[in-house]
Amino acid sequence: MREMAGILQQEAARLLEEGVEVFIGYAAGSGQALARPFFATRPEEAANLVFNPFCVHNLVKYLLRYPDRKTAVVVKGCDGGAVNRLVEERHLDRAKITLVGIPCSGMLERERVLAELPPAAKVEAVEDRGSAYAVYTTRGEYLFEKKEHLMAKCLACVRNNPTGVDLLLGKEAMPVADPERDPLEGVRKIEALPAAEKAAFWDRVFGRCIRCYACREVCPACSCIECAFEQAVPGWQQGAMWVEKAKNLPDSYHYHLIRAFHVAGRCTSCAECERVCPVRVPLMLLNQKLAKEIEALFRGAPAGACGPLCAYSPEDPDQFS
Amino acid sequence: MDSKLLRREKLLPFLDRLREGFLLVAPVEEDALLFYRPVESVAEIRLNPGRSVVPPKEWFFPQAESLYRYNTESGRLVLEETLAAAPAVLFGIHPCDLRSFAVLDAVFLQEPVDRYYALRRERTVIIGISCSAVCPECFCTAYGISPVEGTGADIHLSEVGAVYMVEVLTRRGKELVARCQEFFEDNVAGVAEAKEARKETLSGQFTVQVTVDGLPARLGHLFDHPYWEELSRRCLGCGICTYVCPTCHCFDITDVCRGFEGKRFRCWDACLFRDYTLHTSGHNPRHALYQRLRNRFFHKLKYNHDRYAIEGCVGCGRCVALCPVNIDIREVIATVRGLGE
Repeated sequence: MREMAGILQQEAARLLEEGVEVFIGYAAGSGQALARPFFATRPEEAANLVFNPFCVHNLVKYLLRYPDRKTAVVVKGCDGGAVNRLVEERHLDRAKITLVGIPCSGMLERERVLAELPPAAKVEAVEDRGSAYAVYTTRGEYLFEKKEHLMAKCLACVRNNPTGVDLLLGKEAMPVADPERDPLEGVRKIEALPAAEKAAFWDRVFGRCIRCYACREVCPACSCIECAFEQAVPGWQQGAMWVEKAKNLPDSYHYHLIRAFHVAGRCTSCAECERVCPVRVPLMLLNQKLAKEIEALFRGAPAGACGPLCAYSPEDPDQFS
Repeated sequence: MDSKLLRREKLLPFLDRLREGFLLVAPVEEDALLFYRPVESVAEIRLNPGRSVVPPKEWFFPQAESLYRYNTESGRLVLEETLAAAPAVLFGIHPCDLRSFAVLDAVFLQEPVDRYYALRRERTVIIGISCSAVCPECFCTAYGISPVEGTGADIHLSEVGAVYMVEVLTRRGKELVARCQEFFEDNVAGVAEAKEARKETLSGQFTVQVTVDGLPARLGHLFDHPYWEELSRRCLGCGICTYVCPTCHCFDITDVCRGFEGKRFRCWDACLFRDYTLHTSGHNPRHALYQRLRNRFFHKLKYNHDRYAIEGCVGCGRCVALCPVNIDIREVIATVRGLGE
C-alpha cells in the first residue's frame, strides 16, 4: 500500500500541475485505522494522500460542491457509479472531472479492527495478502482475515476494479466476494417476518433515529439543491413541511421512506448512508429492497446509464395516465 | 461529604427501591448501542455503562418537547399548559456528562429561567458513576475533569472491587440515602485509597493530551482565518456532532396546526444545517458551510466561555468518535493554538 500512496501522490501532483484545481482523495485520520477525505489544491499538498483499507468514504458527493471547477477524485469500484449517475442527471460536467480509479480488495470495518488492536498501536503500513490484510503497527503485526473483518458491503462486492475511469492506478484487485453469500440475505430475512414483527423491527430502528440527516448529506444520490425535509428558503413549498422538525416515530418513518423512494433506482449501493449513521439504522435494507423490486419490475427494460426509473421512450406501450 | 459503601449485589435492589417513588432513567442497550431511557425493570440496566450515543442531556432538554397546545374552535384562543415532569432518578452518569449539566444550567437557569428545563432539573436526582475505562476519543482531563469525579451528581458511585464507594454529595443525595438506609454500610478503610488508585490508572489511559489554555482569546484573532474554510471542505453539514454533544443547546420553535388546534414545540437545532438561523427574508448570516462549522467551534471553545465563564466542551469525545469524516475537535484545538502563536 506504500507503493500505492507513492504512485497516487505522484499522479495527483502531476494533475494539479496540469490544471486540476481540486484533487479529492484521502489522507490519514487522527485516530487508529482511520482515513479522512482530503482536498489538495497545490501540488505540494499531494504528499498527504494515502490509500489503504480504511479509505471507506465515497468522495463523489463532494464533486457537487465544485460544479464549475476542474476536479479530480479518487474512486473505488463502488464509488464510481455515482459519478455516471450525476453526469447523466446533468449535475456534473464529466469533461471537468478526472476520475482516478484505485482497485480495492475490500475495506476493513473499523470497529472490528479496533477491537483487536491495542490502543497505543499506531498503524504504519498495510499489506494485502489476498484473503487477509496484514497491518503493521508500532506494536507489531496484526492479521485481519477479510471474511471476518471487511465491511458487510465488501463481502458481496463484485466491483473491486473501477470502470470508466480516466486513470487507473495500481494492480488489478482480486475479487473478495464469497459466491456462497446471498447479498440480499438481510432483506429476505425481514421479508419473511410476520407483519407485527416487521413493524416492531422498524419501530425500533427508526425510533432511535436522531434525524441528524447524515444519511442524506453523505449520499451522492441525494443531489437535490433544496430538500423536501428542510426550509432552505423560507416559504418554499408554501411553508409546508413534509415532516415535522421534531423527532417522533411517525415522522422518522416518513423521512426514511421518502428518502429511500427518492433515491430508488439512483442508489448505487455505496452504503455510505449506513456507515455514517450514528445510531446504526440499517438503511441498506431499504435501499436493497427497492433495488430488488425495481429489478423484478423492470428486468430487461431499456434502462441506459440512468437506470429504468429515469428512462423514457415515446414507444412505451403503457399509458402515462 | 458523607461516604458510604454499597455492595455490588445491592445496587440493583437499591435502584429497584427507587422505582417506588421515582421514574428511573438509566443506561440501556439496544443493538449494542447505549441510550439513557426510562426503565420498566432494573434488569434492563447496564451497570457498567460505556459512552452513550445520545448524551443524557436529553432527559433535561429533550430532542423534541411540547411547549403548549392551543385551540381556537370556540372563537377565543385557549392555551393549554403541557409543562410536566415526574420525579425521576437519572442513574449512571459519567463525570463528563455531569459537567455538561453545569454548562446547560448556565444557559437555561439564567434569567429568564427556562421553566421546562428547570422543572425537570428540579425534580431529578442524579446518580453519577465513575468511568471504568477511557475511550480513545476521551479528553475530559483537558477541562479539569477526572474520570472518577462526582461533581454535579447528588450521589456518586465508584466501583472498587466488590463494592461501590458511595459519595453523598448534596442534601438531596443525603435524603435519598437516608430513605434507603438498609442498602448502605459505613465506609471502611482503604476504599477511598483504592478509588484514588483507580484514578491514577485511568489517567494513564488517555491517548491524546489536550491543552485548552488561552483558547478563547486566541480564537478572537482567528475569525477570518482561512483554516475554517479548509476544515469545512470535508464537513458533510450533518447534525451528528451537535446532536451527540452533551452541551449543545440550540433549539428551534415551530407550530404544528391542524384545523382549529395545534401545538407549539421546540426541538434541537444544529448550526451545521442549511436552515440554521435562516431569516424570514431569506438572508442567512451564516450562509456558507464554513461559517456554520466555525460557529460550532467558536461556540464550544470561545462564546460559551465568554458568556457564562464555563467551557462549552467537556471532552466526552462523542463528536470525535462519530464524525463520519474525522473532524476532530482535539485537532482543531491544537491547530488553533498553533495558529494563535
